[in-house]
Amino acid sequence: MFRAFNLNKFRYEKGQLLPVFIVILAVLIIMALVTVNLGKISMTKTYTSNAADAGALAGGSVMAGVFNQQSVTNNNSLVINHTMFMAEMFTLAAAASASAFAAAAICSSTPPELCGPSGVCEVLAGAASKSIKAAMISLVAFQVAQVFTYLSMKEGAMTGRENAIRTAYQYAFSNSGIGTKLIPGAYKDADTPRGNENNYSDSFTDFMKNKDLVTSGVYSWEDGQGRAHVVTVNVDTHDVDTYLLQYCVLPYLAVEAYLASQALPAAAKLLVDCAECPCTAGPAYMAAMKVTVAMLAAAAGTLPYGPLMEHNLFGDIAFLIAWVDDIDHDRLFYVTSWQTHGDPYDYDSLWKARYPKIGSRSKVNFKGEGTIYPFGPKFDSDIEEVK
Amino acid sequence: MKRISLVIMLILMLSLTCAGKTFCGWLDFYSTPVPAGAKEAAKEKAYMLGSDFIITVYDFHGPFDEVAKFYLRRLTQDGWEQMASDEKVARELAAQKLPAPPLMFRKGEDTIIVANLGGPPGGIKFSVSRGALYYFKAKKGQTLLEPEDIQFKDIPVYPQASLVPLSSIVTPLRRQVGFSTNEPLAQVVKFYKQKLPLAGWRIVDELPMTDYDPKVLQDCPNCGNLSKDTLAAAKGLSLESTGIKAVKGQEVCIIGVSASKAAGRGMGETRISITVSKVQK
Repeated sequence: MFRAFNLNKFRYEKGQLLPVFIVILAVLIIMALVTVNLGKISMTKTYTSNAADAGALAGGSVMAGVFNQQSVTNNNSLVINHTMFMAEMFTLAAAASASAFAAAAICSSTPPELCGPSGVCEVLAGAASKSIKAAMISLVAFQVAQVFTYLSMKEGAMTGRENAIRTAYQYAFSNSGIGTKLIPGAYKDADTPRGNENNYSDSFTDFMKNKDLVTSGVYSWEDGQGRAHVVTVNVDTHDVDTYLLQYCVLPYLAVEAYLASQALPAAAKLLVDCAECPCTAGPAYMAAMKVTVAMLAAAAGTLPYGPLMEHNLFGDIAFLIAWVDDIDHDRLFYVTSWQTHGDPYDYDSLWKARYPKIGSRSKVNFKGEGTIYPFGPKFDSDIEEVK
Repeated sequence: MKRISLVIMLILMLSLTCAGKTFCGWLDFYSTPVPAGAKEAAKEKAYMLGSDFIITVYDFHGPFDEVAKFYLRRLTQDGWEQMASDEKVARELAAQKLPAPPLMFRKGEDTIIVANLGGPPGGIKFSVSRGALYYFKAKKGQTLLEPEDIQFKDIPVYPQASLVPLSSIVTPLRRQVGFSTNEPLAQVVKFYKQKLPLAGWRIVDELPMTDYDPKVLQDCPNCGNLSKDTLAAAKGLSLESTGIKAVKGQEVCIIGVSASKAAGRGMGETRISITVSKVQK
């Protein structure tokens, strides 16, 4: 090989490395022009990850708290109103029935001295009537209390969701590293202001206090070298305005119809019978039976029937709400965060450092072991997925 | 000039001090006359009869009759009206084992109660209690909220409404009572919206007036089992209802009002339910 080289050395042409050199030089020039700082890219990626994780965890925790509160309120509503109301309705049904049958028995087989005004028969028939009226009062109280509880739960959930979103934005922005990039103080206080107003930490503090953060998640500023910086946070979780409600067997109107249009007239008939005693047994017992059946039907109508998706708000009032079975929500909380520092497509200023748009996404599941019904306030937040 | 400035300053300071009613309480209180020779022995704030009262105890060398005469003359002159001793009040004060029934005066809702606290011969102690008392003069046929449970007494009762027996429930967390009246529903609602704030309740929510459309019985999953009679009765009810929610301290009061517009069914009554529950923390 050396011999061959030696023999042919005068036949080689000079400058053959030039094209290679030119290619290498071009690559070097391009690399120099497109300045990419890998360290800074990695730091920015860390910031976006931190922002997404912190925001999602904070938002998820608040949502867990909101759902825990919903569970507790739902249970209170169930215990205080529903259980008590049902017990009351059946007790009143039993009282009305017993009074009505006793009145019928006395009416049909009694000596006349026990009849007439303030006689035992009339007192018993009156007691049946009072029990029915008491059941009607209880029905009003139950209906109105349940609707108020339901409305306040819904309002609480919506406000809680807003708080969760706001908290998520705040945690995401405070962990996005913006603070380290800004000049301390206020723009107007600086002797020689650099960049725009948002390049100063006081502006960022004001931004964080802004209540509108719940709908807007962009903080951008221009630094002293004229580079644009943009930090974007996007928060998302489902609405909490659709409830799965457990309704009672019958709507309010039907229960009221049993009480007002069947039980009450039957008790009134017993009163009339009592005034004419000894009365005919058949119709008197029939009236007592009617009181019993109507009261039991009304009480049974207040038993829980099954979960149904809510109708429009005031359509629901037509039904008797037993409790909230669930809230239509996937128990997930998402936060996405992006950062761009310098315009990556600004080729007019190639000497400036530029970075690609860097983003991270975090998904938090706040289900834990909690349930709205049955009472299980064990909602907790946990990161489910990170990108 | 200096004097004028001083007067202006003084007026300003007084106005500022009196901006909050709390701070002006003492000013207001001193407008309550005290008989000559009475010496203040103690002063405290107490919650009674459903309201906050400032109670001042005085030592007096003389019989209670003199004190009574003084207040009867002086307060009547000042436009106060002497109240015939109210049963509710008498019952509450009787629990305190006072030697004689107290004198009660009112001007609007401002109330002064003068009570003989007894004492050794030649010298007695008497108390002057002042606060706002909200209650309604009993009219013929009116059933006042029966305060076996004392905490119901700061809730107004619709005039001449009748108490529905068996509808009173009292538990540590919830108290419920029911009334019925022949007055229209809208009038009952108006009454509660006006009177609840006067009794210290803050109305926080109100349900819209709901007319129950019988069409709901067509959509209802279980209404197919209803008898024709019941369906017809439900359609004829023409039922409407509404509710008011108010809060006071840790208590929530829900007033439910319901009525049927159908005439001639023994249904002309408006039913009122009052439920007070304690907010659990």
